[in-house]
Amino acid sequence: MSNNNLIKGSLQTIILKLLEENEKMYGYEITQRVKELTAGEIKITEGALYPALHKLEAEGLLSTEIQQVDNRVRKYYSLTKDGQKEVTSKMSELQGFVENLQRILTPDLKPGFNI
Amino acid sequence: MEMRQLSEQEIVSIHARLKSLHIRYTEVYEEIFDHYCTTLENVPVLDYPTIIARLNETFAWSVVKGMDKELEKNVSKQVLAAQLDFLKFWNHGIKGFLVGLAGFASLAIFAFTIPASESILVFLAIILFTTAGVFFMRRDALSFSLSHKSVSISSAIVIKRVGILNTVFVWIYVFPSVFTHGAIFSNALVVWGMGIVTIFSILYSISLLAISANLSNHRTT
Repeated sequence: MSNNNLIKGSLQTIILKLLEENEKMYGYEITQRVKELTAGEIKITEGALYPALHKLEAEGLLSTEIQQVDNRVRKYYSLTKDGQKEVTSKMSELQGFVENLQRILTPDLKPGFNI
Repeated sequence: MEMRQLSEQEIVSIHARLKSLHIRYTEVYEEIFDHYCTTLENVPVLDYPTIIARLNETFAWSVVKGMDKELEKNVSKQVLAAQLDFLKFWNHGIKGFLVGLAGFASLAIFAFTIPASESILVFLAIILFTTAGVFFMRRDALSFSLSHKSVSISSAIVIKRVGILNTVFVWIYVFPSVFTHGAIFSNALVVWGMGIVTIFSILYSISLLAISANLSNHRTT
């Protein structure tokens, strides 16, 4: 399923949400977790994932920790305090958007409908 | 499936591929290298050619260059924020406040008491001192241009900032002075302007040196 454009706008929220549920994660782990949760329907492209992680880090929403793994360096990402606050706001923003999208796609739904 | 250990030959081939991409920053190189290794450790040896071909496609030249560029943009913002944070002396406790205040006052007195014609030499001294200091502390950033080894992003950003000082020096001091044969120094407004630019440049240099000293040393790949 080609859904890259749809994912693009919500990638940051996906990352923040996953890190809220897992104390710390590294790039590969994030891609695998998304694949696992969506049964392979959503595949995050690495070319978009790493810049998004770096952006969130620069914005102070993520902190990083370097660990030596089998003679190589692994960079773990975790939420900062600001990041933890941001998850809630990003989640409600995305949920609101999905609800509105649902109303457009299914006009028969009542306005009070919640997903 | 159990994770397998990559052979020496497989690791060498991953390094060869990544080096061929001329990745500018160590941080990007290491993250991609870990991604390659972890992905390949989780697939059987038989699938190695298919998976590495897919990885090579994923981390194509344009993708890697985009990652370098994005990282540069993000770290550049962080370095600027750190510079500004360093200069906010009122946020560094009473001792920091007093040292900062004394520093600012002496800087202002110094900048406005030296003859305008000599301010060019002061500015030259600032540039030389900052360049020497930053290059000494962040010399690893020169590796990329010399041998295409990846360098630490923070080092590269700091070195780049030294270039801004050089540009200011050339456009504010050298060009007007050369084109007017020094006559520009008789204009009070210009002299005041130069004084202000000198103060900001000194502050900029100090913050740059402080950040260079604080940055943790990253190893080059």
